[in-house]
Amino acid sequence: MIRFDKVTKTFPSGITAVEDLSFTVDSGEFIGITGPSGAGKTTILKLLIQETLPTSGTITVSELEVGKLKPKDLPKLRRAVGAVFQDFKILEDQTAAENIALVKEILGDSLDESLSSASKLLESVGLAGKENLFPRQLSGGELQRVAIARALAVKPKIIFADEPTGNLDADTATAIMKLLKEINSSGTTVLVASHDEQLLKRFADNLVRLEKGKMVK
Amino acid sequence: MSRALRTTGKYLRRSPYQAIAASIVLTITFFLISVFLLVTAGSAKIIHFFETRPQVTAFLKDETQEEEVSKIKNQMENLSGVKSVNFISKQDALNIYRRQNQNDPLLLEMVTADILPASLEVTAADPLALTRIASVLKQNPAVEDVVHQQDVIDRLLGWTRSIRVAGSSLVALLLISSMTTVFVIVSMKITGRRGEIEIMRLLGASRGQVVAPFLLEGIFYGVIGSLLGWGAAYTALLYSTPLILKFFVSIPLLPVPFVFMSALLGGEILLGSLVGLISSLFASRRFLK
Repeated sequence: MIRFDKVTKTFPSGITAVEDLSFTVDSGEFIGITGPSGAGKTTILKLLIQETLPTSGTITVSELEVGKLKPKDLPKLRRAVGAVFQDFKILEDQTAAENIALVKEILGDSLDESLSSASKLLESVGLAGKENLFPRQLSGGELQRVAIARALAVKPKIIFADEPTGNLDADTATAIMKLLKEINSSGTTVLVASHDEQLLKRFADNLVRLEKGKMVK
Repeated sequence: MSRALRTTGKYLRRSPYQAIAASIVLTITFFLISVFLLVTAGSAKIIHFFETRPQVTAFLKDETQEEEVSKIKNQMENLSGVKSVNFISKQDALNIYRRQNQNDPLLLEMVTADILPASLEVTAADPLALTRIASVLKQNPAVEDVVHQQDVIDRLLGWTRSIRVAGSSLVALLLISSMTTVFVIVSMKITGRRGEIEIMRLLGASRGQVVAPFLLEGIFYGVIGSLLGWGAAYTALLYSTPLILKFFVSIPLLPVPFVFMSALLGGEILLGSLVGLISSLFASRRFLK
């Protein structure tokens, strides 16, 4: 499903974010990617959705070679990967439902269909009744759930969550991980990047440990 | 498309002053384009009016016989550049005089057919042939005097050329400034919504889906500007109708045909859409790399 083969990413500033990274994720797996800040976890997500290109090596996602994708084919990749970003990337001037409906509309659904789907998705992540609330009216945990619901909107085969529990209290963090585990149980491949190794160990099938951009045992 | 339209509406509502500024600039542009095209069409009609009038009138001596008249008429008809030749007898001349002065009985009282000269009205196919026709007629001993409107036409052609050059330059300048205005405003919108654009791209929106609202915004400015500009010009035309009719008494300039005004509106909407589309396309290419 996902294959990183000797992937290195060096930024123009000279900083190498990941170096000679190789791992494989099979369909339906729950993989935890752990390591301290600056280990390269976020870079993996950026490489996975071609937000940045690898300096060397190849990345394959659902038989698409990410580095060789033409700009016009990029939406196809990004619609296949449900991304949950560390900073949420939620539109401040749109309600929770509208943020999710945006993805459905990008896929070609009408506004009514999209808002109806968004309500169901919010319900599935435990946010029923909060459709019309704006991001500033939601807590960190609720925003994270909106971001997960939005990632689910594309019905992805893969979900990549970058530090989904970063700023949450322990109970909320566990609830979010349980939610991701539930999503994984329905057959979706889940990658979670977190510095909290103990939390990942409770939910992930396998762990990838990173340190200064390299895999460690 | 419905999302793009909705987003365009949202962008317009959120920065109404920018939208108003762009619409005003485009309205002024299209108002002046409409005026320029109406003036150009009007001047062409005036020239056509003079071109289709008997441009050279040869007044014949009283003693000229019918045979001689026929001879001159034949000679003129065989001359290149001549469209038609019409003989106006003394009686015809009196009838014309009476028609023109029917509201002034004093002017009609003392005039009889005898004191009016017979004449030949020669219509040229090409205004440039007027001088040659006049010179041939002047050489004929049966001709008393020759009057032609070459000077009027020369002046009109000169004005028309000047109007066309000045008008085209002004229109080009206004179109460039309109395009720059739309470019700047759409660029500002793109810069202001950079965060939203980035999120949309990361969520899998195609370039077209991201760009469409900005292109529609540019087209909106163009269409609104052309509609208002055309409307303002048409209103100005209606208000100045009495003045135009008074000034161009015998030249049938008005009313401007409905087909012409419709074609003008259609053309301007198309041009406005293109101006808006191209400007916003440039802005999106420049700022969405």
